[in-house]
Amino acid sequence: MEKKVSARPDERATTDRLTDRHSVEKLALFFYFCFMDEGRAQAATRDSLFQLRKRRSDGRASSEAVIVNVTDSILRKNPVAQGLRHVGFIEGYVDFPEGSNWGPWFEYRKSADAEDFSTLIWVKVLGFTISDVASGLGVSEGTVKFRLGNAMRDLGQLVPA
Amino acid sequence: MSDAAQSELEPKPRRLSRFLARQFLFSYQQNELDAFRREGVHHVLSEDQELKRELETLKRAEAYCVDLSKTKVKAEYVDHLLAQQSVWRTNLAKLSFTRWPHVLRWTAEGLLASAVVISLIVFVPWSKFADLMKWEPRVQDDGAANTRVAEIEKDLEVPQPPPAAPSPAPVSPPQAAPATVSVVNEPPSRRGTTRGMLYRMMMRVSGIKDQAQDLSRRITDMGGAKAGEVELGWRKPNGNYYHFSFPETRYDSLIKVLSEYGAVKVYKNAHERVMPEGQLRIILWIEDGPAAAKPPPKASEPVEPVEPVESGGTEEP
Repeated sequence: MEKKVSARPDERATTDRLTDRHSVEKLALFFYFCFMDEGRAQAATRDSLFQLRKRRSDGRASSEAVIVNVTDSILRKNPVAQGLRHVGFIEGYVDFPEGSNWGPWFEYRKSADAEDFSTLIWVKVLGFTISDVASGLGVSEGTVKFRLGNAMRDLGQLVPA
Repeated sequence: MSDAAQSELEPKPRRLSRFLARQFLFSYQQNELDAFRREGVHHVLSEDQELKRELETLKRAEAYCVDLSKTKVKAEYVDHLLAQQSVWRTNLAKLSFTRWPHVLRWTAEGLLASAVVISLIVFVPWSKFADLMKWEPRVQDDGAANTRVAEIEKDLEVPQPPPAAPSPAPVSPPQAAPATVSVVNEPPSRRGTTRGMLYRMMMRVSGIKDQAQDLSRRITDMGGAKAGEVELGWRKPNGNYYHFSFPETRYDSLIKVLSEYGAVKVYKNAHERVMPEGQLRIILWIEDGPAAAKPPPKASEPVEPVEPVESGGTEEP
């Protein structure tokens, strides 16, 4: 497991930027994809928003990096694996794309490595850059790419041809 | 130089191992490799069907993620989160004690500490603690067992009055029985403001009920005057109570008179109330019961005034 080192952004971007509508959407989506449970996702989103509001601003770190940092810390306290038995596919506050197949995602979520899993969501679902994720986690970009490659390989095996 | 020789001198593209090609596969699929490595991976892929299938897997995953990334959160939910955040958490965070201004925080802490101290002072029954801590003299404790007081025992023989002590009172002792007067200094009080003196006299006399009136009259004759709120010789269930002021010059006479009834113990307490010059404030308690055993007379000594020792006193009726 990669250790978080001093590269973690201690000084944070402006609070307004961190808690604007766009960031809240990203947070909500991240936790929804993690937990697939509206209740857990909502609670985690609230907690992360609360943490984001506490962050000091200096503008050195990008808001995406801060979001990665906060969501990672929340996810470490509430691992995805804890809620696997309580999976409920509830279409409440999320608009799904038409014709989407959530079967591979459910399967992948059960077996995925936690770090690969969250990296995949940050980069491929939320669209954060690898450098933002690396900055938020305090790891090298190569590490992020390695995790992402593993995640894509594992997910691709579950996606039907 | 022939063409064959020249081609041998040109740098050949380095062949990647299958392992390296597999590691580069994701970057290859993302089109992030440099030209040299890209060509190497391409070369391996052309020969390895398994890696080809893996590349297809990555492409499928990529397409699947593109599909997932179209998932959107409803605007109402975002509004709900933002509203909840602003109303509840934000206000709560602003009210947090750690965010208070320093002046306000120190003030609050000071007020809290003051409230605790005042509560301790007001609500804790300190007077009861003081009463519990205070030593109550008892007539029975006329031995050496009591280590809290310094006791001076003096035996007086009534027929031989002390030469130094004047006895202006025209009272003649009816009997020449030896009497015991114990003068005890109370331990010093923690309070340093008491400047007066209170004489507490304790006796045990059988049948004091019948002699109380006579003793009251004799005290009055010697110049004693009632102090406090009750009459001289106030009868209580188990004894009689005398609270009076008395001329200091006739103190020895009083002791003699009291000695006629039995052994007297005198305790001198420092007290808040200061008496006029030449006046003593005396509380005499005579308990019903057999007279205390009198120790054998040691010497005929006058009653010496005891050095005043500061001690706490309690208000008497």
